[in-house]
Order: sequence, then structure tokens, then C-alpha cells
Amino acid sequence: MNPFIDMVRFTPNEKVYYRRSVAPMALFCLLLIGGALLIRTYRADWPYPLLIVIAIAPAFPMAWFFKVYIDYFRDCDEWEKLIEVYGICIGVLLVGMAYFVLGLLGMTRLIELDGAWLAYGMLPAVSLMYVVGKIVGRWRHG
Amino acid sequence: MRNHLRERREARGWSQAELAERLAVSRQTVNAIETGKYDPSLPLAFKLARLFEESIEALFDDAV
Repeated sequence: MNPFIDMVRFTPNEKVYYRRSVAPMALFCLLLIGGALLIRTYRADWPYPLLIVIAIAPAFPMAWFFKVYIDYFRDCDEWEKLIEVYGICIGVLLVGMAYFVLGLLGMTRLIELDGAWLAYGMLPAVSLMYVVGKIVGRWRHG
Repeated sequence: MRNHLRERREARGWSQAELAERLAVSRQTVNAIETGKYDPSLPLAFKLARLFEESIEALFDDAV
């Protein structure tokens, strides 16, 4: 079997995980896009609690997705766990380092940072680097 | 670490998927062990030894 093709094949546990991820991720996208469209029609008389609900609504399906991920991780065999740990480590460490460097550049006033965008971008950045980490882990141990 | 899993498995006529099922791990895990890219934990090594009715030393060779 071609080792590259084998590397990108999902394990049965991964297939279950990706299937279970569809609903929370679809809801997440829906609330994110819906919230962004709704905010465009924002009026000053909207009650404050409603704004909070619109703003943080996507966090709930994300929490649901994390539950799905934790269930998946629990069911991983030892090799799958190793690959997951690779992904998580590389994701967290690279993004942590990038944020630290950005923080240093921001504190020395070399660049202007938007805190809200930085905070918003952290999870997607970690997720992206997690995928890179999983590919590295599979390449080394797959 | 080198090992003799592939020979033992093929001698019994099992596919990687069949061996994986007997060990309750993924086929990719079996492949990673066979190719020497992943060293199994002690519990999994014992499981393999019991399955093939051999000692761990007979299955795994730590000589470089």
C-alpha cells in the first residue's frame, strides 16, 4: 500500500469523530455567519443581554464540538493518542510562540495589535497548527 | 525497534485489519508497529505476545 495514501486514511475512530463533528460545526458556522449578518442590522436600542447572546452564541456549538473531541480522544488507541498529542502540542506551542512574539512587538510599539481580532483568531490558528502537527506525527510515526 | 510481527502475522494468514481487530486497535496502529515507526506500550506488547504465543523478546528486538 502506498504509504502516503495510508497516512491520510482515517482510522475507524476518526471516521466516527468526523461524523459526530458535522452537527456542531454546521451549527457553529450558522451562528457565526448569522450573528455577523444580524450585527450589521444593529440598532442602538437593542437590549444589552441580546447583544451578549448574539456575540457568544458560536461558543456553545464550539463547546459541543470540544465534547465530541474529548470523547474521540478517550476512545483513541495508544498510537492514535500519540498522533493527537503531536497535533495538540505543535498547535499550542507554535501559536503560543507566535502570540508571544506578536505581544513583544506590540509592547515595543513596533506594530499595532487589535486585541479582539487576536483573541478571535487564536482558536482557528491553534486548529490549523493542530492539523499540521497531526500530519507531522503521522509522517514520523505512521 | 525491530520486530517480527509481519512474519508472525503473515504466517497465520491474518491481514493487518484482522490483527488490529484482535488487538482492539486501529489498522494504522498495527502498520506503524510493523514498520518500526511506533513502539507499542508494555500492555500492547504483552497482548501481542499472548496472541502469538511467544515471549516479548521473541517478537521485539532492541538491538540497533
